[in-house]
Amino acid sequence: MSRFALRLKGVEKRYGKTRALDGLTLDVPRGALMGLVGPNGAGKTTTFGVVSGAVRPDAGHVDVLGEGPFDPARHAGRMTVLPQDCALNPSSSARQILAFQARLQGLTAKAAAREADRVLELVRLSDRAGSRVSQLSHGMKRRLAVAQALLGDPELVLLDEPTGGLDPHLVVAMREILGAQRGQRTVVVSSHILADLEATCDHVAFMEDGRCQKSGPVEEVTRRGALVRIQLAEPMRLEQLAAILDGRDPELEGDVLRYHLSPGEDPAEVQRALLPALIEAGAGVLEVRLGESLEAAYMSSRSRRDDR
Amino acid sequence: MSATRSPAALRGLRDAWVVARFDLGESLRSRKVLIFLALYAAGAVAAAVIFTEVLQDIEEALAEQLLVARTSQPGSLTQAVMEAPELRLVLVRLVRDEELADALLRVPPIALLYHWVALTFAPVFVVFTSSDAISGEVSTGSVRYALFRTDRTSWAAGKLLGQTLLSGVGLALGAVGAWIVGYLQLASFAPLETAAWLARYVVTAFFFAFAHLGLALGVSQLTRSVPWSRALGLFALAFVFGAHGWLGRDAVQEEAPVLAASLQQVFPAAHRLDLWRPSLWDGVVAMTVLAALGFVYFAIGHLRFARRDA
Repeated sequence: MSRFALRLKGVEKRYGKTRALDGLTLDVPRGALMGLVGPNGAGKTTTFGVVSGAVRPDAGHVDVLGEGPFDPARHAGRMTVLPQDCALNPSSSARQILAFQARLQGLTAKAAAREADRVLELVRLSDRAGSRVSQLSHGMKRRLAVAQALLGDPELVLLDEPTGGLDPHLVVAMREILGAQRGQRTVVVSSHILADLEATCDHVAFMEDGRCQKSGPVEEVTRRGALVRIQLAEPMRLEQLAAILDGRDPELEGDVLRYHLSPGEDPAEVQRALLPALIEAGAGVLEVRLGESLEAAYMSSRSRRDDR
Repeated sequence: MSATRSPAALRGLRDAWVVARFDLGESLRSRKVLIFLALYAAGAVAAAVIFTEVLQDIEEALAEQLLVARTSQPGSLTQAVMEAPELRLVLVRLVRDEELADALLRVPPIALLYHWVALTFAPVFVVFTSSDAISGEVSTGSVRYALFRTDRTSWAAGKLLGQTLLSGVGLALGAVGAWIVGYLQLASFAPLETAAWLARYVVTAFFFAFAHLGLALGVSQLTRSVPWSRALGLFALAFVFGAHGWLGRDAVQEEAPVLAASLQQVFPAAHRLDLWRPSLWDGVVAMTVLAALGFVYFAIGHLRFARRDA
């Protein structure tokens, strides 16, 4: 069994003159909960389309679950997708749609009905199970669309903007649902809300212009094991700090102090040394965290790219 | 949770059936199709009502000629009308076949009328209602919820099957409506004989409709735009009737009789007359060819759908 649930190598896709994917190479380890981050037009939706067989790539190689490109004969029921902005059949009820999709995944009629009820419960739509899709609000339709991606016991789940248009409390619920998938299956989720991805995902990939700019474990991308980031109350000068940092060599940018850990250096030890010194020197410390936020890592990846 | 995955061919058939059932259900739940079914039934009923009124007018004229009492209910003199040499002459001119004309004179008139209405209007109805069956799902994106669960051929075949069942329901409803009108309006109405003929004509009209349904769903697979697929559907319908008619013109038949006659066979209208023939064999051959034409039209569209982005 391949250790990757999904591998894309040099995948290209054009729509007329627009290059939606421009040699995309991306590996998603089996069991990972990966966040796919990128601006509009980065190619996230096209990537999901290519992986799920809805979009035909012009070039490159796609390997789903270690068994080659998507093929319904091999992958149906083992991979599910939440596509972006796709309507569900308006005249059927939520339960009818889910039961139909579960049947297509190979479940028996009885099992499909049970499964439909299970996922409706999961996305808190049990009370609207009999409602026609056309009678549901936008947020409810989105939850129903998420529910269909959780049908059965897929090995790989692709979710394109699952929290788009959801109320804040449902976003939290969605985060819990995603978190509950950890260890059970591989999940790739795209979102513009980086804080959500940071809270849920263990892997992340930054996409831009149809290519993957950076990918890896969240800890690595945000440098959790290599950086102590201290948010100061107000900007300081480096000279002010030099005296209190005891020969350490931090990086100061306005009111943010970044201390790069040497290999083997204990971050707790660094904090124990730095914080009292800073406070003694009159610096207000607002926050101490290991590594950057995902948002900062993403922005710094973008700015490095812009600089090039 | 038990996912039962059977061998590929069986799985394809199973998936097509699951899609067809859902599609039929979704269609019956939607207003659009209710309108379609109502149109089917109303068309047959309206034609039957008009027919009985015309029949009454003819009977009154006939009664005047024969110097017998006028009747208040049409159908009292139906037998006399059916035996009138003028009617036979009209039929012979219409079908260009004396034997067939004589056979048709033995069919209950309401069943004849139903068959004529169904063969004339079913192609238009199926093209109107089904040419967006696939393009509609592609344009809204709902197809993307299905295509990672089953293959495109099974899904599209399921849509074809669903729409086929729907047109079958429509044709059957129309026949029931025609029978009820005949039962209520005609004095010399033979309930069982008419029902038997109507049942037979539902089947023949169903195959004629299926050929056009294949055309509509073939076209529906060519584009993701609903307005385009509807326009293409109407164009394709006009083309198959127009081309068949053009190939049948005397000038063309004289110029290249074999080629013209052979080319005509790829259009459903070429097999319409055989659906009227009393011989079961003629009807079966025509229905088989019509079914094959429907599948071929559908398959041509599917060649494109199978390769393009959904």
